[in-house]
Amino acid sequence: MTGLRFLVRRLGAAVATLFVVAVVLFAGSEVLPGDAASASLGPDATLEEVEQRRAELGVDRPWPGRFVEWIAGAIRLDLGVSSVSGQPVVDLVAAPLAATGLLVAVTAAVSVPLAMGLGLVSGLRRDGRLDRTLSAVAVVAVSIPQFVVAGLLVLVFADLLPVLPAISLPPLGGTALDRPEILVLPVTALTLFGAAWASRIVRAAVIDADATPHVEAARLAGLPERVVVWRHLLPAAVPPCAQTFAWLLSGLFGGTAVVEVVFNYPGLSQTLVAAVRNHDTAVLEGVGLLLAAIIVVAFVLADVVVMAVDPRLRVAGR
Amino acid sequence: MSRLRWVAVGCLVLVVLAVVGVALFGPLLAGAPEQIVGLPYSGPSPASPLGTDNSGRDVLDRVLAGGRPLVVVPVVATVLATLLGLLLGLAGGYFAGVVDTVVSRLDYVLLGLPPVLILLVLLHGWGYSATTMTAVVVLTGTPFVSRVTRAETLRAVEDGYVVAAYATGDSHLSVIFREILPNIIRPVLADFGTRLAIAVTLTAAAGFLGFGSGGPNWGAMISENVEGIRLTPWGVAVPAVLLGVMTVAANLGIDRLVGRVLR
Repeated sequence: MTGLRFLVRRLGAAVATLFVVAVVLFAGSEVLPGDAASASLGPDATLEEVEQRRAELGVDRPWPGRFVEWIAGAIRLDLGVSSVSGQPVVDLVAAPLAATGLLVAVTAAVSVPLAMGLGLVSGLRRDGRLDRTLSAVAVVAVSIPQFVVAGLLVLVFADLLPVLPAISLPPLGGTALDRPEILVLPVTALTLFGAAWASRIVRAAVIDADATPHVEAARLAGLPERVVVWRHLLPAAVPPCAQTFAWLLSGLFGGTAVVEVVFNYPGLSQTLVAAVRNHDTAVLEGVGLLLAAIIVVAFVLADVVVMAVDPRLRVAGR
Repeated sequence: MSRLRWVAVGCLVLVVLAVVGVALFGPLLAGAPEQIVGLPYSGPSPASPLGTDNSGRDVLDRVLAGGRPLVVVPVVATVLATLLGLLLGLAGGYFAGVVDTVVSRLDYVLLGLPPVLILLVLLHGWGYSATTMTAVVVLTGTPFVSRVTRAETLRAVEDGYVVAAYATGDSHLSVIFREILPNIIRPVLADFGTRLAIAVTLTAAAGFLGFGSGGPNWGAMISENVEGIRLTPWGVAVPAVLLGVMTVAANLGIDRLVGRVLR
């Protein structure tokens, strides 16, 4: 009962957050200057042509009405049409979103276990040689921009030791999974950042959990270390980490936006950059809202994981 | 520390100073970074020691000229973001109430969105300029600062010295700036370098995505020249290494420095 109420409250907060995101996106891209109509017609258009185009695009009306319409459409998964190609935004972004989603999913599948493992080892052997080495590597890996890492990876593995493709173009009509080797370098670039960053936070959570009375009690009771770690320490360390992995997802979507460019990967990055360059407001807002929705859902899922794992919440739920 | 370690640290500091020096003073030494001097992607030659880029321009000149935009704007913007975050966090933590709710909610939203998305939205609305980049850094950096400040303020408010100062009749402003601020400044400034590194990254990312000033820019050079990496690697390697040294130095060096000064 409590569990359900908790979930409903979290979902409510998620919807509220998405609404604020929508306001921010709309304000950022429409209320501020920057005119899709004149941008799509080019510099030689006459004033009348621009006015006509503005009317076609529906941007000549005051913004509050357009905002309400946009939100009402978004709820029905109708994000408007691209001012450049005239295609519905949802159709336009489906393929790039799937490509980026695949990249993010593969990266998450590699980074999350890696971060858990490294964080656990570092946290349990705090200030040991391994911990200090990992911590130094992590600071460097987190600091360097991801496109720099990607560029250096291409340099080393596609130029100096030509073992991997420098360009990650999936075969026509297929996905990157048909040629898994093209995913190696982009996933490595993203994982270096993601795993380094998340493992630091897992480490802190493990250290905190290690200091709790119930873990100490389990140790003092003479339970084998394996049992102490898996049954008692990890469940206490997971809740703070679940949120971290939701942040990680947001970071990965941001990271792909630049890493894809290095590898010419046909994901959302190209869509977003083209939208900004052509003042294609509907596409930019649509992609922004979709990304925000994915991230918000990840945060709700993180809360669900916490509820499933954290024994305190479970007891309260019964 | 052993002598060997001192030598190692000394070398690192020299490297960092060299990179920052190139970024700040390189434009004075750069010849003509926009001039076409040869075929695209030529290898090193006596005239162009680092070869040419995708349009046949001199890579060395572009490296020398392309660092400054990545230093000035990020530093100014990060300072602004820190000040704004401090004020918002202090106000939210001290006065609580509606302001606090609104600020926390907005922080949460801004922190959840990928910074690159915020960058693209503002580039869309305003186009590239120093103001746009400052706004991007402030929008992405302020929530970090205000969250830390708010949490530290909430803790400080409970402490005896704050209660005592308030009880002796000090005004709110005096309590905030004389009592709370000095006591929370350390954790707030502790990751100034991290935020500066993020600001440098975002500024370079704008160039990398093709939205820079159009002039030479280390971030832009990486995406411009990555396609010719097999013909000549220098147009990617040199700006990438310089940019990497700069962000790591900002993150590690400045945070150590701040930690030492504030101790």
